This record gives sequence, structure tokens and C-alpha cells, in this order.
Amino acid sequence: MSDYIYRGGRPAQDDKPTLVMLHGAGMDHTIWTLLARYHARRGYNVLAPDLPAHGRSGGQSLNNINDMADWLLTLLEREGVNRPYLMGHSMGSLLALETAARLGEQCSGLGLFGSTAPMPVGQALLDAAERNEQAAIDMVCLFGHDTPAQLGGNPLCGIHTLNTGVRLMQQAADGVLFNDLSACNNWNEALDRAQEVTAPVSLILGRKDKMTPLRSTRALIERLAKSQTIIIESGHMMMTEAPEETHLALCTALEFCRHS
Amino acid sequence: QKSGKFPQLSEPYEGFHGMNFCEEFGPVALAMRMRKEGLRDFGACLPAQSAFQLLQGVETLSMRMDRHVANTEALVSYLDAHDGVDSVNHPMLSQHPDHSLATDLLPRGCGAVFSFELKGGRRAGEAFIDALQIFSHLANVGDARSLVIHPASTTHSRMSDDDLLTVGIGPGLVRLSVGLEDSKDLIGDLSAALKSADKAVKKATQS
Repeated sequence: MSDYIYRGGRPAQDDKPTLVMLHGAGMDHTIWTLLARYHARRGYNVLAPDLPAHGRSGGQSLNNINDMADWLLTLLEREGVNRPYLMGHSMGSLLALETAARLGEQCSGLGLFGSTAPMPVGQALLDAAERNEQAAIDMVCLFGHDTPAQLGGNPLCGIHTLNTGVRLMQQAADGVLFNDLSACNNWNEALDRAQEVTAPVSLILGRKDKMTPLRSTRALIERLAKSQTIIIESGHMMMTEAPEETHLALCTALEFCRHS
Repeated sequence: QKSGKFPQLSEPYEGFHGMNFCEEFGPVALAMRMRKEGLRDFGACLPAQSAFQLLQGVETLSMRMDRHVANTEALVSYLDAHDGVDSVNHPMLSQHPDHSLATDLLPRGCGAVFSFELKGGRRAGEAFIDALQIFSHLANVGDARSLVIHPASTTHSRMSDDDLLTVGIGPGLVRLSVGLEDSKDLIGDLSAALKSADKAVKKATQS
């Protein structure tokens, strides 16, 4: 089994803090490319791994957050990472939350992008994903993007973010998306684990997010000891929908961690 | 990437410090390579004025289409009733083979490009084009100004009448791309040119 780790184009250096970036369901490290490259050149070792069976990683896909956290902690130990900053998007945010709870004081900070807890998934989407139907990908990408992105709008000329998402998710093997969505849907410990997080937490949320709606995040925020909320004018897929705003939000999140 | 046929995308590229575009950008590797190459080599960037014009063009498209369609309908009705015109090819006409399909799929109009067949063949076509004042004689379509072309004397001038007919072009066929001008001016222009075409054909027959 081989775990692929994207490092933003820079080799790891011992004296730098580590920024871990965790992708969402059916995705891979490429959603983090721009943010990873930036911070890899500004003082961080960046680790954006592909979860098992995602992107360039081998292995079997995992169907629950606890197993994913086991896998991530093993990977961090193998990489010799101390006191990481954990950033996660969507499913990756739940993984980051669980890992931060387990690391306790050993986690330097947490960033939850497009997140909520608990994170229920609609039955129609789960069913379509279980049957490995294109409809599942279409649903994720349609619900995941706000109207401008659905119409093809993007600050980068020539890049259609919704269709990029579709193509990316089509590359995942059968069963991967279903396992990921099940992991989100079935993780009932999210709010309890949130109370155990001691690190400063930034929630980076899309105002138009239909998958993890803004209004659903109150319970999570109430349970976090140290948190700030940054709202971005985008849907769920903020890294591609609003790259500039998301970049600034990540910088603000890291600033918050350093000064808390 | 697995095929190995696209090393420019799937292998490290020295020009970008060893970047592997597939690894960095996944499904958008090609789009990003095209974009970055242009940005690096010649700083491709849309000028502000062009961006403004592009936006204004997109934002006023629906209004302009209404006018394109209304003008076209006026011209089609005019030409269809004119003695100097053999036939008009436009789906808004009930005799057009796609009329019912067009009514179903394009209820707000079938665009502003259409053709019609002049009586009098090539000679009529040439005289008609020469006499037009408002229509510009151009091979492109979709302009804000009205455009016209007579294939038998321009783009397809080397083909015989028989060969033209096999590809669906009559010797007197004229294609119009209707613009945003006042439809009365356009009809006036067509009317005068049709008279000139008629005269030219009569003169040719007499001599």
C-alpha cells in the first residue's frame, strides 16, 4: 500500500511547522494545489495526502472517520510530524476534527472548510453512490456549487469548476464515494469530539453552501472552546469557487492559531 | 497519463521547475498548462477595455437577439411575398421542412441568418449584391450590422450551376445575416437591390 502526499512542490524541512490539508469525499489533493503551493513557499511543510484509494494513493478506501484518523496519525508519525496545523474540507474536516481531538495539545490549530457536525447525507445521494451511478457525482457537484459556478463562472479563464469537480470524482474507483459519504453520514461522535478539541479552530464556511449549510453549524460552534468563523461568498467547493477569498481565509486561520 | 502519450502533462516540466501538471492539477492539467505557458511567455491578459466590451456584449445579448429576430422576421415576410424572389429558407415559414420542429424548440425565433433564392441566377445575384447600400458584403455572420453574400459569385464561384445544386446552393442563392438596423431601412435597401437585379437580368436577356 502506498500513500501519496502532495507537498506543494517543496521538500520537507525539519525546522518548519507542518500544515496538513485533507480533501473531501471522492476528491484528492488537487483541490488544495494553489493553497498548498503558497504556504509551501512561506514557511510551512505542506502535506496534502490522498486518502487511501483516492487520487494517487493505493489501498482500500475507508468507510468511517475513526479508521481515517488511525490512518492519518500513522502517516503523520511516519513523516515525523509534530504539532501539525490540520485543515480539512468537508469530509476532510471531520477527519481533521477527530484527529485534532486525539492529538489534544499536540495539534497547533484546526481549520474546518465547508464543514458542519453532524454531517448527514441524503438517502438519494447515498443510494446513487452505492450503485456507483453518475447521478451521485452530479448531485455532489450540483449541490456543491453556487449558481455562478453552475453557470461556468470562474476567476480563472478557461476553468469550469463544476465540470472539473465532475471529472475529478469520475476518476475515483467504484465504492470510494459511497464509503466517503457513509463515513460523513454515520459519524455520530462529531459534537462530542468537538468538545475535546483544545486547539484554536477556524470555521471557513460558504454563505451559499447547500451541502453543509451555514445555519447547521451552530451546534458545532457552541462546542468548540476557541473558535472563529469566516464566511465566504461561495458554495461548498470554496477552494475552486472562490480561490482568492479561501486563500485569505486560510491565512487568517493560521494567524488566529498563532495568536490564540 | 497512463497512456504515456502526453509527457508535456504527465512528466516533470523543466520550464516550471519540474512541475508535473497532472500531479498538480488533476483534470485541469491541460487547461492550466495552456494558461500558464501563455502567461509566462507573453503575459497574456485581457485588457480592461476589452473586458468591458466583452462584458457589455454578453450583458446586452438578450436585448440584441430580440432585435435580430424581429428584423429577420420582417425581412423574411417581405422577401417571401416579393415577385423577384423564388424561395426563402427560414424555419418561421410554414413551408419550411423544419417549421414545426422550430416552433417547438425555438419559440422565440430562429436566429438571424437565412438564405433566399433570387429569380435570374448568377447575374441577378451579382447585380443584387452590387446595388445594396446598407448590407455589407462579407462572408462572416452574426454581426450587429447586416451582412450579405452571394455564394455563386464569391465563395463558390468556381463551381458550375449543376455542381452548386448538388450541394444545395442555387445560382441565385443569397445569404443574409440580419443586423440591428431599422428594419424599414433594410427592406428599403433590399427593395432597391431587387429592382436592380431585375433590371440587370432583363438587360442581359435583351442583349
